[in-house]
Amino acid sequence: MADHTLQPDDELLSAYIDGELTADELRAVEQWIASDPAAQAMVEELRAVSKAVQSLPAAKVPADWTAQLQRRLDIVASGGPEGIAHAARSPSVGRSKRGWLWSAAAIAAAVAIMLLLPRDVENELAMREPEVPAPAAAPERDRALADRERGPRALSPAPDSDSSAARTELAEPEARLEELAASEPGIAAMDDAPDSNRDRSDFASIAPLIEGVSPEVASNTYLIVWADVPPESLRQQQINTLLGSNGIYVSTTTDEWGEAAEPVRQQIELRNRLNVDGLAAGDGSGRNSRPLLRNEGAGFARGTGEAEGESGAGDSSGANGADVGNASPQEPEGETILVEATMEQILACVADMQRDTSNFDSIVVEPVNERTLERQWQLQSAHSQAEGQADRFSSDQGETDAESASLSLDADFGQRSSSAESPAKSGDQVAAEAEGLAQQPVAETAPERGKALSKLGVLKEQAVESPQARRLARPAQWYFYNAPPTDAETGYQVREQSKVLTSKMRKGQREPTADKREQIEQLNRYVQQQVAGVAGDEVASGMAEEQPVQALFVLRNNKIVAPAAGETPASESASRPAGEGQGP
Amino acid sequence: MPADKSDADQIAKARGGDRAAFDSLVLRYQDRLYGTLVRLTGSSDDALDVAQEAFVQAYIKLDTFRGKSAFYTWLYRIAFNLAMSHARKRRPLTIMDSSDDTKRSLEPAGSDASPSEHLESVERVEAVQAAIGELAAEHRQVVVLRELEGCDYERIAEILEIPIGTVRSRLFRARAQLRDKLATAVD
Repeated sequence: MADHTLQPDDELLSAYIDGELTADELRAVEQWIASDPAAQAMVEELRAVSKAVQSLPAAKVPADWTAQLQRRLDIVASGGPEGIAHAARSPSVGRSKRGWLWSAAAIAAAVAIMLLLPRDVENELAMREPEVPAPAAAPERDRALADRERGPRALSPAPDSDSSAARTELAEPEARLEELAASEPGIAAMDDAPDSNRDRSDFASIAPLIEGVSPEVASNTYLIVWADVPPESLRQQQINTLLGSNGIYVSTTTDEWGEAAEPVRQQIELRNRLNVDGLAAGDGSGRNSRPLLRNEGAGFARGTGEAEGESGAGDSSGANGADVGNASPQEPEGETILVEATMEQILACVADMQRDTSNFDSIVVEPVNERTLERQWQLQSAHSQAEGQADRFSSDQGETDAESASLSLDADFGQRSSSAESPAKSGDQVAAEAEGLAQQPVAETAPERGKALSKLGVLKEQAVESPQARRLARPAQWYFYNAPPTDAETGYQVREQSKVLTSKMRKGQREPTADKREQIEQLNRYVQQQVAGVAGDEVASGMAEEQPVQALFVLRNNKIVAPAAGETPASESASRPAGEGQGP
Repeated sequence: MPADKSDADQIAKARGGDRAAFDSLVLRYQDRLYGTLVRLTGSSDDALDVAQEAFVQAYIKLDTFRGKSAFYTWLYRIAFNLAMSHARKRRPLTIMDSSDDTKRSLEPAGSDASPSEHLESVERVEAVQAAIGELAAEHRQVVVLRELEGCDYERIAEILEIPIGTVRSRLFRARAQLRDKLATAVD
């Protein structure tokens, strides 16, 4: 039968053989089949196809597969990825006892690496070292991984002494971080203790780190809502209308970010900093996958009021680049709106965005809470440890200033400089800071984390009197360098990026879901799930709808961040060649 | 889904640190998960990798399993997400490779058939597998979940996080395409 004879109703016949029709539909279809031989024939054909697929033979895993899995589970059970968490969270380990910290982290990192290795490499290793590999048995692993490491950082395996073993161990995490960051679900492995009994006590071990915040407060009071929007929407501030229709009114002025929602900013910038440093370069799943010049990384301004340095935007010379991201006379790169409202309101807005296919695309909801922040910090520490450490040993390898400058971001975190200091410091200055940082990669940044985490709890106590929303200024390029998460662990994809949207496709694929209420509940379930992951069963059984929430809406100009996919109908009508000029 | 009750027991034990309990879950579901993943990804190696990774993830995150869905559904979701991100990282999905590794792990049905029948059925199986492999990912997913996993539309919708109406239309389209492919292939 040729395709053109397919009617839309034929779909019912498929559901019919699955027994998935409503009572009404069933009656109608039965009558139809009885009276129409073509329909009857179609039913038989569909059944035949169904049977053919069902009769495919059963599969079995190969014999050694299960054994290999058992080995991996053994590693996990004996405290593999958890080791990183412990190393990261133990400030009591003396700062000067760098060796200890390194070894612990190195061991843990090496073990975590074992978990994330692709199977073929792991097979190789498993054949050489059937037991859990001890750190001293580094050389084999080094050789196996040597070709994976980046050139300047490759260290010749020197298995003799402990310190050199530690050194080579740490070269691995750095190289492996590429896989770590890219292997999205694998990252979650660093998060959670495999052993449920220890989960609760892990919070206790964080306690000294966080000033005055009890673990119970780790409820999810922050959300980030990402979306790509066409430039017209930005210019017309469509989001204002949407928020307004849900009872949230946006103030007319644009503020500096300041200290509000600090954890949110940290999380975004931590997560994307790993991207910025090119770790995700090989991974096509990130939107920021263009190769990033190291110098641009140095110029990446992360705070309000900081000079742009070498960033690409031409008009941000020196002084105040803060507003360029938002209110430039050129095409706006995006906008950031901080909303304080109830959970129900926020989710209602997201539901509206989901339905508004012409104005909002690639909608992702990213929660910010203690767990998610902790995870980013862990990745960060592992990264800066490896960097600072590699810096020391490969300083003659010709690492650029930008490498040190990227560490200056860490220094910035520690110093909270908000003045218009140029981030491109002198090489010596930066190297000195890098040294200092590498000495205590984790402990020093503890106050930072503590502060961020302590802010997580604040909102919970207050009731939401009246919803508020205001725009926050972002520096130029910020919207390009900061992207929503792409893995299911970090963010919930409300609607994926659409390819070219034609009205036909939209009808088929974007069925406006029956009930806005349903949508909200679905989103709520996701958020609940995130909360549950943090504090286990003690958490309130439902996310109270009146719960005050701070949500950051980050809307990015889709022409800038996803030029190929920016052909929404709205932009089609106003399509011009993208001559924004600030394209990176 | 069957075995829900005993799953709950094993899960509770595994959470308490009973590794053997988790192992029993592995044994219970490993073949099924692998089989589905093979159809989904088109590659035995990929399926083995993803399946293994999924179990590891499930083990690590067992605490976060809320028990609201069936364990296998939860496990499958993890595997599914892994498979999707796995696919993104690699070269574009290769259609079911005709290499031996896929065949090796699959037992043709009716092994006591005569040689010629056996051969026919093997050819038939290959044709069906090839046809599935040629489907677009979104169609392949629903077919695999429906026909091989026996999921109802609601469960499919839950796993894939799409509306039920979409499940229905995609499944229909997938079947129509398979019908066309098989009609031309098998003669």
